Amino acid sequence: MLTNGHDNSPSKYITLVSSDGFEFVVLREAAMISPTIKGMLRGQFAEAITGRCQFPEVSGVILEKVVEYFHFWYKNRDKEDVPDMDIPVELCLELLVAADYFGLDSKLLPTTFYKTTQESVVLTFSLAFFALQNKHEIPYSMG
Amino acid sequence: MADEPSLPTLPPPLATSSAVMSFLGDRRKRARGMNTPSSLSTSSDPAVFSSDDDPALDNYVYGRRKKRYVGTWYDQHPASSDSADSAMGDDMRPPLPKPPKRQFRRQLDSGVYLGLEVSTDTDESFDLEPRAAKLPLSAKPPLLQSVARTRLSLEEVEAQRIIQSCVDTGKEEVDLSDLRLQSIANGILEPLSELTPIPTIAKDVAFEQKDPSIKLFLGNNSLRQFPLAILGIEYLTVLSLRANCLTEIPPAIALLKNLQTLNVAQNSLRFLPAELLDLMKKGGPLCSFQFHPNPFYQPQELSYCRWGAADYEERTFSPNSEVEVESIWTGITTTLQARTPVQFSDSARRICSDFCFPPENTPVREQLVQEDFWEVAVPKDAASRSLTQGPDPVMSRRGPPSLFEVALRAAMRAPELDELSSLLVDEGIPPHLPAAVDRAVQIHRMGGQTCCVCQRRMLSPVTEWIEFREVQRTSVKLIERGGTRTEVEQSTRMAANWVPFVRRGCSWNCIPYKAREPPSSEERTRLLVMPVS
Repeated sequence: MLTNGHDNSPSKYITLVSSDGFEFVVLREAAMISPTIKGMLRGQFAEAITGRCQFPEVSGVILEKVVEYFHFWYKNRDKEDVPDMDIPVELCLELLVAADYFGLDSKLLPTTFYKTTQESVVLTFSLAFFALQNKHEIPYSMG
Repeated sequence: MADEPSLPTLPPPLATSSAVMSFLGDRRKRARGMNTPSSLSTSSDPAVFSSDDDPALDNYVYGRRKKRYVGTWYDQHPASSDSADSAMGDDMRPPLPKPPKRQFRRQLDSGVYLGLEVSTDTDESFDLEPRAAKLPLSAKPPLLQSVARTRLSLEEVEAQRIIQSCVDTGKEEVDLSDLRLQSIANGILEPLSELTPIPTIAKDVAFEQKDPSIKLFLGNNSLRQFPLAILGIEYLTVLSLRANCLTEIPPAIALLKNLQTLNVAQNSLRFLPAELLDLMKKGGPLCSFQFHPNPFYQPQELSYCRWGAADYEERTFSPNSEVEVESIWTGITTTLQARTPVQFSDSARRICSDFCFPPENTPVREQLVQEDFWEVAVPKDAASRSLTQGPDPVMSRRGPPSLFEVALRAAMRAPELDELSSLLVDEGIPPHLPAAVDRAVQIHRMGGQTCCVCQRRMLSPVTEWIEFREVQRTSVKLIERGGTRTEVEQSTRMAANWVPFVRRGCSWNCIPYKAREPPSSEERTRLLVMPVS
């Protein structure tokens, strides 16, 4: 998982784990548009070494959509007139919070990467997610 | 068995029982080998077969209908004893499952549509769109209950009567002024988009159906919101919104391509949309424009250097096609004088730059600082290629929108737009999110907004700046002399003050172009705009 065989370069893929234990294997390059994930994978954190990021605040349904967006972005990053990604209405508000949490903001477009300190931001939104999920029982069933 | 494709295993209770196998085998007309009982099920249409349950002669005396079975044989249950099977005896067959009794109750989605008795074309609360699934967050009742508009106010009824009479008689001047209208439902104005004048029928005049030129007067009312149905009236030529309480003109006003006269004087406007400039260019339709008095933003300094202004206009925005002037044209044009710094924010409307616009409900006329055209102040933490090199309309058009934007667009399909932000009011959820959703709903209601640099649709503008422009009345004459055509242009200033036009961008890439280097001191003095007298 850590390296891809012969050399010591990190694996092309990383694993994102949701609160309910679903694991998503994502192309590292695609996931790096999120400043939050980028921050987690930098330096000598456990996440950076194992390539495995736990998101105890994000449910599997939402993380699945976020992962879908990562690949949607990666596939269309050089294209013009990209069609909208399909998002069910009932997920939109949680995805808004998730977009805020992952830093997938409009100010950030594919050609730009920002160096921001995300740690404090992550903390704030962890609390937000916690509140959101405890308050309302979200009627999802997966798997 | 070997040459036939093997089929999936059959359902256990019937398929494996030898009783069924023999039941079918005897029923077959053409023998294709006793070992291939499944050939019936390979057909794409459901097989139809009949059965003679009891071929005893007594049964045929009064005529007898055969039972027909549709579908695969193994879904059928051998119904009763017949001669072929009688040898095995009824007791060998599995008991038939009883079909569930149909209950006598209403089918909710019957497909029958019951029309309402009242006419629905004036009632905007009637929602033709199907109600989408409820948002999962609405565990508690929403804080804000949207008031269902079931009844029109007296003023609106009066307006409706006037409009109806105009539509009936084909009258193009629709005068709704002095009605004390507070708001006007979309349904009331919509008939106007179908108004057609009655053509003059006279002797020796060719019958001609001409395009209408609708004139709508809404002056001296108390409108707080620009009535959006106006944007649907394609042949609107005169629009007067004088003396209302409008705070914003929607960017979609550029849809009114035939608008010749616009009056927005005596409102509470602080700026105009930059999209209005589409109508105010050389060869454009607008030839009369009243906009004073309004509490417009004012520039702080009046002496100002315009170095780089042309570069900025040319390089920031994708080229705007100018309409060819044929021989004579008189209309409204504008000249860029100055611009403010850019207000950078993120999607959730948290401001990240030093410069920010004053809060919305300040009664006094605000003065805004200006920024030179050779400078663009960017937030400290933004280190991007394009922020230093200037925008590239082609580059910024690439790539998908952000997830935030995508989610906002999905949210706009929700039926409860009014209550959307209240669903996000909860402890722990960042307080700026509801504000961002509110703003998106507002933009969505105003007919959408496009980014001024890359022309993409957006619901969460993240850059915003104001251009101060001088509004002029210009007349252009084309003079042909010896084969060469020369344009003679004459402009007269319409107002002493500059008028602010707001520009909005969809990403931090969509910002003003920065002139390469500051001007030399001689050029600076040459291009200095002196205070307006």
